[in-house]
Amino acid sequence: MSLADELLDTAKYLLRRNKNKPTQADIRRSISSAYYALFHHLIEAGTGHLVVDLAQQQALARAFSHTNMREVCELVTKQPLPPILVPLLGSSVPDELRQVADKFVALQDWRHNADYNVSLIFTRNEGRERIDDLEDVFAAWKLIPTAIANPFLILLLLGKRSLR
Amino acid sequence: MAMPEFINHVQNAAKNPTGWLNPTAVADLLESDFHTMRPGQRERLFQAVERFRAIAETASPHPEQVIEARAAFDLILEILQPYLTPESEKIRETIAKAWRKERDWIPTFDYVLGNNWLDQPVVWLWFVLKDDVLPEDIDTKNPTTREGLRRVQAAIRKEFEDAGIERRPNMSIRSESEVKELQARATA
Repeated sequence: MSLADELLDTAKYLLRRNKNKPTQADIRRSISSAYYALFHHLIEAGTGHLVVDLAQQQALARAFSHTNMREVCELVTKQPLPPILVPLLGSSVPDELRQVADKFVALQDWRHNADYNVSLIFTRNEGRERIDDLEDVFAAWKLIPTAIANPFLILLLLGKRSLR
Repeated sequence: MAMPEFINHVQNAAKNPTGWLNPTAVADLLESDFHTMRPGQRERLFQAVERFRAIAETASPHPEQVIEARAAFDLILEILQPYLTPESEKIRETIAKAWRKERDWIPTFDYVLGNNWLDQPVVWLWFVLKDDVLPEDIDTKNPTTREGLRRVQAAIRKEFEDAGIERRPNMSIRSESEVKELQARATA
């Protein structure tokens, strides 16, 4: 099982704790785990496509950054697609890619609230919604053609500053 | 009827110098409305609505009661201020356009205009769902609910784009019973 899948399981387990009455800490860790599941899912896909050796994959994984990935995802969700992305992703980006990019940004925002904003109270269904979103994104990712997924993954690694 | 209609009634009454003292001025407030409001503030709002309604329903209120009703109404307006800015109104109306088609299972919604951790302007938006559309088990999916949420979220993103709203909508859900629990917890 991949780290991303394990994190998804952890996110679910935390919401089932205490006979489906999770504590605030459980829900916050669940939301955070859901974000990290997507973060690592994309990194696993990226490193898996770029290098074969496991040690190389692990080394390359450390080069992905939350900020670079977010910035690229924000660009991909723009309508119309910024012209600078067209040579790499084509003029018509699949809905599934937009969905992945959109949920990455949203999950990152929720994760920051869950980890750092102590003034908020989270409910179990808010945690559930993050998990359902994540499962939708995992399913959507499988439908993106490789010819679009691969350049997107490279962009996630290099960041939007690589686009000139 | 719910929060968007309640706010419209209050606004319409505020523009009506002769007909403001009427129960319709505070109609359509749901128990699960304004759940993102600070608990003390929310309690003041609901109490002011009750005071106003009690007097407005009186056949011929005394002058002192009219003064008391006006004070309650002014307090309602004051508490609702964050919802009455032009930007907030535009965003609420835009959300409501997509939400109205789904209100049989999403009785109400609430939202907060704020910034995310990068200081980017966002709308935090919560749909309040009926309890029976959400299974207890995390792994049990209600396909109708999932499809409905995808539909309403896509519709809201489209409405935001069409309306030229640059704030990103960060959408989530709470059940009616969760909203009640949050309120009970806040007043405990």
